[in-house]
This record gives sequence, C-alpha cells and structure tokens, in this order.
Amino acid sequence: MIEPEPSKRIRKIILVGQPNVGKSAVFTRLTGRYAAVSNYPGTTVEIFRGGTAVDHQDYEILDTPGIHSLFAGSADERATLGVLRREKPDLIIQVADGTNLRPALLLTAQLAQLGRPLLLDLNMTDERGQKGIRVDCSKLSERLGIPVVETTATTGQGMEAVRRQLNSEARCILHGCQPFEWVEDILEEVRRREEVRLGSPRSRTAVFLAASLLGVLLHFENYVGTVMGWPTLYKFLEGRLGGTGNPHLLTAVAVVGSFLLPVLLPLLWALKVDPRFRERLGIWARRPVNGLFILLVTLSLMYQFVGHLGAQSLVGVLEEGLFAKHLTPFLQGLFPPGWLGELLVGQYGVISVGLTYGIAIVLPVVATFFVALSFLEDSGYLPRLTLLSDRLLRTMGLNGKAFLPMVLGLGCVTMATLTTRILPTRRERLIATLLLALGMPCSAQLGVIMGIVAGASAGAALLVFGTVFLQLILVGAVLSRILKGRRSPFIMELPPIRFPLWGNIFRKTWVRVKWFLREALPLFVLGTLALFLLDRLHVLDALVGAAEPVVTGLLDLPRRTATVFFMGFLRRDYGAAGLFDMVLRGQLDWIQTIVGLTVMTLFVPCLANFFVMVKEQGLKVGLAMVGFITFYSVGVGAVLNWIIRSLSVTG
Amino acid sequence: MKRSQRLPALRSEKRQSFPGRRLVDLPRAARARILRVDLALAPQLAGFGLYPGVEIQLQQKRPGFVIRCDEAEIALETGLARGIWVQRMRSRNS
Repeated sequence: MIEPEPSKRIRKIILVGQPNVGKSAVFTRLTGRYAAVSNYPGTTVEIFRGGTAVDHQDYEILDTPGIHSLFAGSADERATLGVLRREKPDLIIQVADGTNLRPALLLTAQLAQLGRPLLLDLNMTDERGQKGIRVDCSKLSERLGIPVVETTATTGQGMEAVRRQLNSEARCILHGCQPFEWVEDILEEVRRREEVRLGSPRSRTAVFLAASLLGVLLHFENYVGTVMGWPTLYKFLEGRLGGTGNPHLLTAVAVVGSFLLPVLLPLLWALKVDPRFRERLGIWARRPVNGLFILLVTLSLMYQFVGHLGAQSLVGVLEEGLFAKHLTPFLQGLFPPGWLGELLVGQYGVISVGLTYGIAIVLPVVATFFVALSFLEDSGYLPRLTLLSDRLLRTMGLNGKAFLPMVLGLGCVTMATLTTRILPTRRERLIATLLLALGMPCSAQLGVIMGIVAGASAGAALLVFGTVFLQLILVGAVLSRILKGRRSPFIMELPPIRFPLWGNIFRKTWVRVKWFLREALPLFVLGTLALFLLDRLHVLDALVGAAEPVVTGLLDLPRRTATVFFMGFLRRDYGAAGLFDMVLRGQLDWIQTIVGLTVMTLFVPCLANFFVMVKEQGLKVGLAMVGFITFYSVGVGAVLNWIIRSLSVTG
Repeated sequence: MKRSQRLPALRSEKRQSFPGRRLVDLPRAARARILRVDLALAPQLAGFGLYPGVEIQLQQKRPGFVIRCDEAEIALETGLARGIWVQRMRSRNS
C-alpha cells in the first residue's frame, strides 16, 4: 500500500474546549459552514464536520460539544473523548475563554496526555480587554511548548493566525504530574491584571433606567389600553396614515410605536453602551427578587413582540389581508368548484388550508419568536434562569441545567429533545423528554395560543398556562419518585451578559426559518392532502365519529375539533393553527377555547418529535410516552372542562 | 430540617479542628481561599477551576450559590457548596 503524499493527505483537526467558549464560532470562521452559536453552554450537541484548505493542504475540521474535563463522565464528555481517540487528529485546537484561563489550562494539561499536536486558541479576546486582563501569549506558548493564538471569533479577528498554524506539529510539554501546581505556576507567570474595575454597587444609570422602564411600561400599557383605547388609537392612526383601513397594519404600527420603541430601544441602547449596566443586569438577573422582576419584564416584552406584533398584526395582515381577501377568492374564481377546486381551495384545500396555515399563521409567529429567542440565547440571560429554576426543577427530579432544553422546547420541541443530551443521567433525559413532549408548547403553538388569548382575556391565558404548568410539575414529581437513580448535582458557569451581534441573530433566525420552510411546510401540504383524501374517502368522518364521544362528550368541544386534533398529530402547530382558525370564525366559546387549547398543548407531540423520541429513547419508551400523553391530556381536559363548567354554573 | 441533622459525617469532620470553615457558613461577599474539596466532588469542581489553593469570592447564597473565581461566575447548588472548605481572607478593598 502506498502512503499518499503528505501534502495530499487530508489533515484532521478537532476543536475541543469548555462549553460556551466559542468553538462553534471558530468552526464557522474556519470552514464557512454555519454551526449554531449562542451564549449558553450546550449549544452544540452533535459533532459537526467541515473542511477548509490553506496553502494547497486540505483540512477536515470537527466541532465537538463542550467539555469540562476528559475524565468526568457526562454523555458529552464521553462522546468527545471517544472522537479524540477514534479520529486520531493531526491537530487538536483547544478553544479557550481568554478571560478564564484556569479551567482552560487544566484541560490543556489533560489534552497534553493524549500526545497529539495541540494548539491553544484564546478566544473572546475582546472581552478580556474590557476586563483589564493581559495575558503574555509568547510566555504562555513557551511554557506550554505549543503555539498560542488570540482570537475574537465572532468578528473574525485573529483567525488568520489560526489558519497559519493549522499545520503545527508541536506537542504540549507537561512537566511533572501535578497538573494543579503546573497550572498555578503558569498562571502566575503569564497573567497580568491591569486595573480591576468593579461595578459600583448601585450604578446610577442602571437604577434610572430600570425606574424609567417600569414607568414607561405602566404608563403605556395604561395609556394605550384603557385611557385611550385601541379603537381611538386606530382612528388616530387612520387619520395620520390617510385611511389605510387595515386594522392589523394599524395594530402593528401601534405596538411598535407605543410599546416597542419607547421601552425596547432605551433598554437595548443601555445594554449596548454601558458595560456596567450589563454587569449589573447580570447580577440582578440571578437574584431571587430582582431576577423574578426581570423575568416578568422579559416575558412581557416577548409577549408584546411575539403575541401582538407576530401573532396578531402580521398574522392578520397575511391571513385576513393577503390569503382570505385576495389569494383564495382569486383562485376560487380561477378554479371552478369541482375536483380540482376542492383540492386547492376547498375545505381541506392545499392552498386554502395548507399554505394558509403554514405561511399566514405559523410563519410570522415562528419568525418573530425566533428573533426573540435568538436574542435571549446570545445575551447570556438564559443560564441565569437555570440558577433561579434549579429549586423548582429539583422537585421534578431534574436540576437547573434542564431549564435550557425546556426553554428551547418553546422554540421547537423536536430540536429541544435532542439537546436533552446535555443532561448527565439517563433518568434526567427521560424525564425531560417526557415533560417536553407533554407540556412544552412549541413556538408556533405558543404564538397561536398568545394570539388567541390576546383576543380573549388575561385570565384565560393564566388558566391555560397555569393548568399546563401544573401538569408539568405533577408529572415530573411523580416520575422522579418512580424512576430509579439519582439526580445529578447542578453546577454551571454563568457567562457575562453580552449585547448580541445583530448579524448572528438574523443569521440564526434565517437558518431556523429556512429549516421551518423546508421541514414543516411540506408536511403542512402533505397533511392537508392526507386530510383531503381521508375526507373524500369518508374515512375522516369515521375517525371523527370514533373520536366524537370523547371530543364532544367529555370535552364539550364541537365535532370539527377532532379533525384539528388529528392535524396536531402531524405537526403541533398545524393543529394549533386549525384551532386558531376556528376561534377566528367564532366557532368556540371561551370555555371551549380554554379546554381546546389546554388539550392541544398537552396533546401528543408532532410526528417529528415522536421520531426523535424514538431515536433518543427507543421505540418502546417512545410509544409508552405517546400512549400516556394521549390519555393524560384528554383526562386533564375533561377534568378542566368539568371544573370550569360546574364553577360557572354555580357562580 | 437542619443541615446538621442531615449530614452528621461532615459535622464530625468539622469538629476535628480542621483549619478552615465550610463555604456554606461564609457570609455573602466574603473572600476566601479553597482549602479542601470533598473527594467525591473534586473532579467535577476542578473542571470549573475550583480546587485547593484557588481564591474565590462568594457572591450569592440564595436560591443557589454563586462563586466568583477570577473573572468567571460559577453557579452551584447548595449540596455541592457543602463539599467545599475554605479559609476566609481579608477583603481586598477595605
């Protein structure tokens, strides 16, 4: 066998490092392939591969999940160690947080034991400058015996130096076998601290901004909501805009003008320009009382953005404006009633239902939600919530770490189920997977719920979310009693609060929206097609008839809701959109709306989620979960329905 | 439920005049140097740069512990914090 020429051989490079130090950003910079980048540990759960070439030499680059140590035993750490052993890399690039050298060097000491060429990349140099820390890189390089480069991968600074070092053969020299002492010695030599700027205990700007935020918040909710009233505002705006006549467009203008601009912009501005405010916010966000306040403000801002702007205004413009007023009538005129007309624009028409739901109802919600979620992800706020939620999650047999998959479940339950891998024990993964499938509404569903309850009352929203939340705690608590095994202890690094890069936010949103269009939209169309066929063959009637005693008897919902639940099997948001449609048409009273929403939220996860559940937990567990959820959700719906009805009769 | 009732083993160790105190007994904002780490927790804590000899500052005790170690903030549950013994240091600013 002839060994290929060394220059022709593809050299293999593996990126390794602590969680949340920017491996994926480095990976993206090196290969040009997009790997999701966020400001919380555990963004990468799979190994990404990409390639690049420098000076006619090809490189294969692998991005791995973050690890704290080669020797501890979480699933991620085992996976990364396995890759390091199996792939026999020509170079390991250790990406490290340049502001936090100690854990980084400890990992370097462990990586040195592997005996492969090593390169140390001190990332996030920009933040180090802000914190007044200097590292003597040449000294560090000399002590470790390997090249050390400084980068800011999010902006691309220093990446050229990394590319030049890709063919490095240097191996790390570890003197003695006392890694702790070795690390402390090196730290002593290379670290220079300039001035340590501690945030003043009561930063005046921060207090001022918080106060004004609260004031503006109260003021504008009051002003717009009660004093002025929406109809008055519409009229005012209509006069200004010269009678556009589209109420949804006006709502959008009103929301942006009255709420988002005065509240969001000052907040964003303060976040961007004042590092002390960022620091203060980071501290507040993890305190029990202030943390709760900040959570409420965040949720209300999100509600304004996703619930009002996305689910009401944009959906209104697209659904009622574009599809219902123009496109569908136009097509109905084009295709005379008959077989083809029914297929395209009938009761289960591909365009009148499939595309309308996908593009007009779900897409605006998904897009606005993804913008908000990406912003939160990159800000570094989410890890602080893990600390606050640790206690609560402990009652469910989980720990604070499980908060991240749960929140991501609000984006897409399917993707979140994959990230349960960051949880260390099988027991925790099992609980998290079931809770995700049971009670986490995904973004589209959430938006649709917000859209519906924004039209109803705050009490309705509380009732729906409260019921669902209660089920999560209940089922989690029971599961944690039943399942064997122990909860793993909670420890996590809290990243600094950062002002997200707009480029990254839009890129991430775009990738997710593209994913939605590619994965979900075909399913919407196929689902509608399936419904159409079932309807034509009169199977649908039989199915609905079979479900009727449950749907109309137990839940007191109209017959058509059964169809909506069937749609929910295909994709949750598809079903939720169907429900939304029924509410818009006034086919549900408020009790039915609440019961329907609750059952739909708890109800069986979509097909994609089911596949992922099977992939992660096995077919038997997956089926058992689906079976349990089906009965449980209907049961909860029935009980809720009974309680509300008996209360409203007596009351 | 008192801590002393739950963890008799640790309490007896403390009585053996070990030169130091438990991290959980420090007041907020105190500076300290780690003296000893429960062996069972050591690998996990070391991954975050928490091992004997390292200087830390206690930032928060409720709802969970937050420790500042150099520039990094590490959140950990009380159970883990119980496994850390420290020596208190004079505050640098005062």
